[in-house]
Amino acid sequence: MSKEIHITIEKQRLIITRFVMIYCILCLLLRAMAHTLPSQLAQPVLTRAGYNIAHILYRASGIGEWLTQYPFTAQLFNVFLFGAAALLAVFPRKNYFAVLFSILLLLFIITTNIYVNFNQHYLFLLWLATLPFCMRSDRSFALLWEGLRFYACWVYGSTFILKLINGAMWQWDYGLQTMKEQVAEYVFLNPGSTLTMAYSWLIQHGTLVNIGQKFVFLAEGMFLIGFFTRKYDRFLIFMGLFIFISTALFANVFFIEQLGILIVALLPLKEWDKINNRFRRSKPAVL
Amino acid sequence: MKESYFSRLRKHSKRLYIFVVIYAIGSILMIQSRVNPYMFFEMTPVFTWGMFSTNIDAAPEKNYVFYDLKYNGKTFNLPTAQDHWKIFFSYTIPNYDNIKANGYEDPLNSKYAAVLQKLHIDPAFASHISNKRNDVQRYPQWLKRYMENNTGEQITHLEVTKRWVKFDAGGILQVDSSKIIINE
Repeated sequence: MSKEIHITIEKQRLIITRFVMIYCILCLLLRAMAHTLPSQLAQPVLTRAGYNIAHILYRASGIGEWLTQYPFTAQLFNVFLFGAAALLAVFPRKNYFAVLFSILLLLFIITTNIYVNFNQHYLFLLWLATLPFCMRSDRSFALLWEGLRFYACWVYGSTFILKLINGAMWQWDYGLQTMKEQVAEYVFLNPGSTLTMAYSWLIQHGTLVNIGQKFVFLAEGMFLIGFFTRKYDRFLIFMGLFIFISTALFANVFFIEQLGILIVALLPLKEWDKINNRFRRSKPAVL
Repeated sequence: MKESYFSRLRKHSKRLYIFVVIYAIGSILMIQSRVNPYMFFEMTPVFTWGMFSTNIDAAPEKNYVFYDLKYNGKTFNLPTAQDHWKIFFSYTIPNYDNIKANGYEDPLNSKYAAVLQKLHIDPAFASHISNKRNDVQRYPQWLKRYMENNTGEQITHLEVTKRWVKFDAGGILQVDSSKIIINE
């Protein structure tokens, strides 16, 4: 590898690590504001591990007790979680902070899912994005970061494949049925609101919803293009936004953490160079 | 021709290559497709991208079920953008309802015990993984405690109602029946 390429990867690694860590801190602050950190769960009593091996091992280990039942250890966990993210943002080349943060973030995700009684996937793409930072060599980092982009394409591309295999794509009124199911609670709680009236109108004109749903499925399928070329990555970012807005409006879900990291993973490397140069004009990069 | 990702990875590091290949194979084998006999068992935290992929019942008279929460006479009603504020109610309450309907006995307990027995492990260990009766019965008090933290208000009365609803031809919501699950 030429020296020039090595310097470019090194610079990109610094800016990507910092950017992702700041994003992680923002996502964790959102969780703190929403009272969903393990220390804020008011000593939860109900759990659900399902058949998830990681969840079963977590339950068997008893670690959840330490993270949720005792205020001191729960707060200590917060300090380490936020501290590791902040330290990695300041010292992006110290991969041991990344290893620590990655383990703590995984613990945080599993703790949330165990006590929320559901295997949510909101944060998993974000967790996978922390793995490249755990690498000591810049070349390993660059290859794993490239792999993350492929995986981001797989997340959406595989949901499209599953819709073909499992049948949702072939059920004509799938859009209308899922919309009714997902918005029923909102409509009940918000009678007379503009959105409720819009939902009522759309239910009467179900064909529009069904067509719209198929477009969302196809938007997911577009991500398969990402396995063959990087040329359409900006278009895929747009598709990601389209899917996010559609599911927020018609399926009542809000995968904001996943959207953010999807955009970051698909951002062309040249853009990182531009961002880096912009920062360097005002302040030299800290190694 | 440009060298493939896996080829570059293998040249750089065998260990990293094996890790990524295993992960990629796992992503394909653990996919929640209907050709996979374990599709409804999310065995790992990561391979869970099968939501909204299976056919759904489209009966016109189909009921949709949800739970609504009232505290101090006020309805807990937040927009979708504040989804994170709701998750510890909206995802835990169906599980509580399910266990309560089973006489406060976690249905997973007997399933875990059967698997443990097959593995020649003491089935009593299942209770460490599933919910204990006493913990399930404490859920209403916990919900009150958690909602106090969440809303910042002292809660004197908390009520959770399960509702069965449907939409009529005009797109208007009709409540078929309701049942109070928690009155604390």
